[in-house]
Amino acid sequence: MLFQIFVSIFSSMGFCMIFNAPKNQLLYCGLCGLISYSFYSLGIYFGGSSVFSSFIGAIGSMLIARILSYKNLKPVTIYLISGILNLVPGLGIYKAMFQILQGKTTEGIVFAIEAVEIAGAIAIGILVVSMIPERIFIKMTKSK
Amino acid sequence: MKYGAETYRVEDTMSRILNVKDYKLKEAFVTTTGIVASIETNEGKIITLTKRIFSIDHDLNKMSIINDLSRKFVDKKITLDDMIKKLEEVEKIKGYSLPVIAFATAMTCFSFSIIFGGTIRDGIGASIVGVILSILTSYFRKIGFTKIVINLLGGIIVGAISILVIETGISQNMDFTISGAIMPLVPGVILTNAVRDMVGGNLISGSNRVVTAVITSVEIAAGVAVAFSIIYKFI
Repeated sequence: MLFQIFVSIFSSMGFCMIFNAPKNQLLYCGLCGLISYSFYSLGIYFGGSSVFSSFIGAIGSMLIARILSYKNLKPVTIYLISGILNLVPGLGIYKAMFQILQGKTTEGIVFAIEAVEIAGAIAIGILVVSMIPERIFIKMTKSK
Repeated sequence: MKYGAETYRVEDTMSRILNVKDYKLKEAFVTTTGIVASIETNEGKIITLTKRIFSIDHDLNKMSIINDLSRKFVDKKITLDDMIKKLEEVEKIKGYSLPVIAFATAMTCFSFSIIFGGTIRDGIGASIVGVILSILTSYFRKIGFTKIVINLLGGIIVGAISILVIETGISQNMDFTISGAIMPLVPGVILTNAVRDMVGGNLISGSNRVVTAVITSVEIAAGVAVAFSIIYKFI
């Protein structure tokens, strides 16, 4: 599992390069991926379901994204996308469609519902953190 | 603002820009397929501008530059003419070159197939598929295929080359190889953004994005299924 967490740096860095992130921000993007995936793994490790762990992971990634965005004065989206990339249910929705196309409708619907649940969990996780007032983050970044 | 920013961010930026000038009525309405802005001047004349968005490419670099520019404009650090000139320059900024993108795709595919539980050999297989996929898709884009065709062909490429990689013995598990290699195509971020839009009250954009995600994944899955059924019929 530690190896998986380590590798998550490279997955989000690579994805950010595909999404054309600014060159000097790539390392931060990797950091976001690392933190979000380690939050997710913590959730899994303590016995949470994948939906709950995604929620935890989204909270972690939004926290680090907001801190970095106040520190570097860049839009949150750069760091947020790189953070949630490792959690996002892209594979789930693909698998759902693949099963349905093969005629296994029941399995497909199970995958699809799980994908939507994970997406909802990530969205709510992001929402929770974005409700924290700005002042706290400004203070945090100034003290560094 | 078509480089993959969220709906609420675009709407926020637009209304900030409109607030710079002192008009009676200013509204900005943003969906994923079009932007509408209208103002009522002090003489009672109503001006409306509609802009259709045809395709969304994720480009974080351009998005961040444009965000910076509009903030500066709102703070009155630059004039409107400067901003328009700079926006035209932004259009021309080039992204990473193809070898770098191919390398990045390989890195992504490798890491994802390990994250999903594959072995290192699966990762290497997935990264081979990823390199070929990224080179071919950028070639298709240059020729001018539509997104539907690119996704379909991408699915076929992933399916076919994954089978090749398995048959030559580079990877062991078909499942993890394909899972890793399919990641660059798959619409995960779109689905999450869709739910975020819906939670934020932008129902039109949200449902737009859901439909986009579903259609994209259907195309990819159809591509992979086509590749599987054709190749296994001949083996």
